[in-house]
Amino acid sequence: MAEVREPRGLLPLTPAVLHILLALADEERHGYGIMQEVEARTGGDTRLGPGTLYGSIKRMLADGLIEESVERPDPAMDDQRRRYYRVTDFGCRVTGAEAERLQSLVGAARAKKVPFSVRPLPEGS
Amino acid sequence: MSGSGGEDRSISERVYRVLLRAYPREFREMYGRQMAQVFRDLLRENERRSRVAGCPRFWIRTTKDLAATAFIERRRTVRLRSLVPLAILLGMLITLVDDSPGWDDTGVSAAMVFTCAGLLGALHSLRPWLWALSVGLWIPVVGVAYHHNYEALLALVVAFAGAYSGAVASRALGTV
Repeated sequence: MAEVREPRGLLPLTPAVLHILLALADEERHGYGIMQEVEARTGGDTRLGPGTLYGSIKRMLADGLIEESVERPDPAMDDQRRRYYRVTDFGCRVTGAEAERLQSLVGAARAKKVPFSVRPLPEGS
Repeated sequence: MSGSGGEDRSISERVYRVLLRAYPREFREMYGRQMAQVFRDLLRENERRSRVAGCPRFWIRTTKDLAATAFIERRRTVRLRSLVPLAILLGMLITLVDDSPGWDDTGVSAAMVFTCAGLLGALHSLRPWLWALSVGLWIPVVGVAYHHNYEALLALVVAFAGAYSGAVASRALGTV
């Protein structure tokens, strides 16, 4: 029988791991694609360096959060040497569990009337 | 300043490939090529934005990322068993220097104990107490046993402070 892993066992996630999981939540991406998505989504606030990105990817592969995709996009559209990654079902559940954990923290902050930053969110978010 | 963007890019890429040697070989073999490719992409993007390939700000960011993550990856490959004899040896060497005739610089001895215990604590942050004892035990042993100098016990306090500081710094780095 397949081992059922508890997503909460991996929490809390590091910011880099959570950003990578979110970048892969809607589509498969290669390393540079992940970096671009994170930068765009955070309005340039978060920039993953190559070391942080691949160090995190290595641990996420080992933890079963992501996997390397065997499918390749249209060769005419992209470099065939790039490796693409996608989030696993377990990775999805861990992302959800982390989001819930953060949501409850935000709820606690709101309940205690902690002032939130008024900086505008990036366009399109 | 820049002759041609392509030439600057090529030099930067070569420098980055050399810097990748800071990572353990296994990590380099798995991700070195991908990291070099991502670096190339970032370099082009940076060139588009600032019209210079590899400006100082870009390199500072890149080097910071590389140094921190190479340290983390190296730390994972260090084995506990190989570190304990090294820690004991360092502790004994410091004691030898501290106990040598004419040596009267307690501050330097304390700094050596703190630094060695701190570096070991940073390399293997799960057992700071082990590094504190391995490095800091010898000065008190010699001080108390041979010279009846109980102030030498302070070396242990310094060693514990160093080892736990190193471990805390290392854990903070691990959350990158």
